[in-house]
Amino acid sequence: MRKREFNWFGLIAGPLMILLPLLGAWWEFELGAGAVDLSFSPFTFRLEALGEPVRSTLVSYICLGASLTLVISGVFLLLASLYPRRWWSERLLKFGATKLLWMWISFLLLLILLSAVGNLLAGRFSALEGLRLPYLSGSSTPVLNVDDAVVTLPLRMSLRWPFFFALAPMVLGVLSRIYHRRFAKD
Amino acid sequence: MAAFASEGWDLRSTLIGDLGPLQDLTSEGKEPEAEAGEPQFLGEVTRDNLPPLLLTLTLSNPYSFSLGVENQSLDVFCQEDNVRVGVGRLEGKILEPESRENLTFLVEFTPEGSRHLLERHVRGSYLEAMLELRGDFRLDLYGLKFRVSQEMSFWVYAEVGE
Repeated sequence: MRKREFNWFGLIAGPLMILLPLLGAWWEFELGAGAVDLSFSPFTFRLEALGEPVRSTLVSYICLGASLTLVISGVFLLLASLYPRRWWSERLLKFGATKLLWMWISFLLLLILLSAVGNLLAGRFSALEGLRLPYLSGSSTPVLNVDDAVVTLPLRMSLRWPFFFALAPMVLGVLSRIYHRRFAKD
Repeated sequence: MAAFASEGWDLRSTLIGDLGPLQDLTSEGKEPEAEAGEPQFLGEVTRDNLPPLLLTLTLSNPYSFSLGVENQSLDVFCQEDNVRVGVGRLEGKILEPESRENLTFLVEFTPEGSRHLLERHVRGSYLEAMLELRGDFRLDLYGLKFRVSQEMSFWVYAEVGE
């Protein structure tokens, strides 16, 4: 009797992927003391301005879509890892293994792009002179001249632990795909 | 598609549904207003004593969020001679949403300022001078600090006792 085989990387990565959308925001941005509070990840979005929530239906639906995609990816990865020799196993694994990788990279690039665009605009427009946005994480206190007023904007950005936690299922997902080749060869 | 359909295919409300209090900042006709009251000396003005002066300022907050007025001090000048005569102090206050609040400036004269006003601006038995508050008026909006350069002039008029 042949010993039961598993894709061990996928077995761990799958449940972690299913769990990930429930862990909350990956990144936070605070302007002032509650003037603007933004926290988001590909699966969650919360924006508060002057103490009141600001809603975006489009972003909510995008987050819902991303959450469902990752949960389905996790389930597929788990099934493919439990039954690595079934004919459908490789197809499910192909779908599930690298979705998180692209989400994570896109999220990182989006954050870098946001700061880069902000800093670029600050260099172009005199009204934004003095604006310096940190990249990914950090704080700054730009002082802007707006009409006759001088406005001080203390701002802070920080990456939260679920962002780093996502690295685990992401790397394991990629490893599961590499590991899965052995089942195709046999 | 589902997001747009749920908002009746309205682009703006699909992107940002309800701006909440931010809507106030973009709507026209909503601006805080300031109104100065009659200045009053806190005591009798004599030829060798100029007591502190109280100036009431009524500020309106038309917005649906609170505004903080910070503790601040502004220099007080004799407008005619451009001489610094004292300092006006304002105790900070939170202006509640859609409300009017009375703020009080307490002007304390420096010895040089008192001397200037009592020597140069007493006509007959009356002190008459146009004073000017100069400096930065500081507001706090949820941790964002606004500094607005301010010049506000007002008449002081008082009988001078012996």
